[in-house]
Amino acid sequence: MTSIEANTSETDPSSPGEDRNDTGISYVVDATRRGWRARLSEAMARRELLWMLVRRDISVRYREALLGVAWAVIVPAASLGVYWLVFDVFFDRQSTDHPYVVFLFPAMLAWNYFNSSAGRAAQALVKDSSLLAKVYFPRLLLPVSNVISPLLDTAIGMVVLVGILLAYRYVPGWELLWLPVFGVIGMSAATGMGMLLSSFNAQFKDVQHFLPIMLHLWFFSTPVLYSVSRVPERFQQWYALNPMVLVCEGVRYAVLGGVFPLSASMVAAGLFSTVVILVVGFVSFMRTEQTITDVL
Amino acid sequence: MTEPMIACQELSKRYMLRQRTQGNRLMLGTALEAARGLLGGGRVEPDEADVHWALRDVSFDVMPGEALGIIGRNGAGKSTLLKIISRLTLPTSGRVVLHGRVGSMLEVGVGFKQELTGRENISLSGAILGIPAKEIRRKVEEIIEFSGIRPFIDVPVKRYSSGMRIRLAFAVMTTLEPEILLIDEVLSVGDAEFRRRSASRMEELIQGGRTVLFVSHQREIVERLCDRALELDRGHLISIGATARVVEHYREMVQPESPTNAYVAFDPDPERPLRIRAAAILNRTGEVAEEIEMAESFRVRVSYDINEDVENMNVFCRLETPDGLGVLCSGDADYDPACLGPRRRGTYSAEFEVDGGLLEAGPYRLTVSAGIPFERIFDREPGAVSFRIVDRSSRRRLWYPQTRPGLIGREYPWVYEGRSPWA
Repeated sequence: MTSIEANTSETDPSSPGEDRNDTGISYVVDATRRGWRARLSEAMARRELLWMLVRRDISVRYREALLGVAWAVIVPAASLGVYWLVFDVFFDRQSTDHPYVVFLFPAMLAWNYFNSSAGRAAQALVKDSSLLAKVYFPRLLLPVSNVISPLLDTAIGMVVLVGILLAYRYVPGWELLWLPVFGVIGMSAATGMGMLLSSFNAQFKDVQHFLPIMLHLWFFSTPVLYSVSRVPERFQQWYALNPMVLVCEGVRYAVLGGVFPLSASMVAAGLFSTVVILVVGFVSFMRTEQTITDVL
Repeated sequence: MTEPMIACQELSKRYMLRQRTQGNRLMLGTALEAARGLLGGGRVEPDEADVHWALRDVSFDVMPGEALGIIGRNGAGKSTLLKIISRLTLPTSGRVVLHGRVGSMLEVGVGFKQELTGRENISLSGAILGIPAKEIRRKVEEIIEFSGIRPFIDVPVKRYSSGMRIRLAFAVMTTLEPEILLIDEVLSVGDAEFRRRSASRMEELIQGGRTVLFVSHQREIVERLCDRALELDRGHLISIGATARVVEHYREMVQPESPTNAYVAFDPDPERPLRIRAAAILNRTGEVAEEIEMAESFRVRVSYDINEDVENMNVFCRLETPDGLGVLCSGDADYDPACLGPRRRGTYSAEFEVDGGLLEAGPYRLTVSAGIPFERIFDREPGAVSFRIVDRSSRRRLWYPQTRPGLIGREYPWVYEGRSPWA
């Protein structure tokens, strides 16, 4: 290195910017990866950006559609109609305690939420790769915002649900108090899957091929179209490892009341797997996060 | 002693050339390698041949309020350096200590969302840069004003031209006032008016005490904006110091890249009505010369075959800079239109002389063509010969050791009216 430092402008100490120690953030970039605690709290500190990303997701989604937010009603209503026609009319009427539409819709809302949030979060890093390549911000916010934004669709679906319940003269009981609990479990599972899938998707584009079929199989392994009582007793404990079993049956119970269909050990299995998904997803995301722009 | 705003300490960045994600043969190779690594105990050190060091042991400080230019050829590591400082990628070793909020403009645009309007993208960019919503709201008008695209501000960004996108991005970045601004090749885009305005905006920011790291191929902008510059070459820091010195060093480094060849011959081609056979640059004594002394005249010689009877044609030489800017054109019928008359078959050779002291020192090349103007090209040899004008004897050379920008190198005497200051 030929240093030709001679006669370099000495920085004028009276120049502006000397107050930077009051406002300045000291930050070190080096080869050692920062711990997950530091990065998690950094992400938490950027709530403002999180809401901005959520708003962006929502407006991008509905802005250019002629019918706009109406799609949030049309899509679930249409699939509700199809399921009702196929499983209630064409096949034998299912032996459920409630009219099939009333039985189906709460669990379907829960599933639809999981389906779209995990599905969109899986694409989060790839979709915004141009943003990731240009600016630094806590990457965790991307999958998380994709888990939050489908809540709007779910909220609109809830309004439809209220309409259906009124039409069938159903009034939810005190069990409705459980709804937020199952909502949180569902969001946790979706967040975990979103983090896991998006970090994999950034490295291996195979996820894009695998994702639709996985969600399809998952749907049929979840008691949306049928109730958990239709699953043979000896499989039920394994079956309950799917966290969406707990979420869908839970939401149905919260809305329609009656007897909670899961045993304590099945609830424990569902909670256990939710925590596992969340932790595995988080670890996997944290491992990919810092090298993401080298890979994408 | 003030602390540096940016302190880079022995930064290195290594890229693997054979990234595992590139292989899609079920990634068996990767699995095998990983297994070998496990059996061999510990990590496999990558083969030196598969490794590319984008940066190697780069250390420097940037003081508050300083503007540092980064120059170097393509692949020298400039963008990698900015990427590490803006935290987009981790260094392989070494570290950067930053004091302040970093705003970076890498490549073009700040990752705008296509479906959102310009106005919405302003808030989003601000939020991404970590600027409080209140501050963004306060500055929105100023941003729109500077970008000069007010009529389009509520139109989705995907309808923007690339120039409009850059204006908006530049306006966002320079108005939201991050303490450290990283700029990568942005000032070379957009129309002349925008380039002028953004360059003066940069000057304002620098004078206003902003710390700026500025990457550009355009040496003139670096010279204008930065007090200090550093030069990178293949990942190594080659020189750092006062801009003029570093730029001069870089210029010397880059020049050997344009090889000179003052004589060229071409095979005959009876298919063409006319074929250029040779071109050469001759010095004052008539020898083929790659280097021409600035003060001396030189001659351009062209030989050609005429294979068919032709008329209304001329043979034409265009002297240009290595990047294709035309400096001087001359045709053999320029001086005497009678030369447009019929030409007989045969082999011919002609030359013209360019007077000494006309051209500034630097590399030049010559394109030779022959044809009927506006109608037909018989033969054309772009950049057929190249040569360099050197200055070893001009008077200013005695006290001014650098080359100057410009294409005309003539020295003009200055005449004072009345009293001269030396008397």
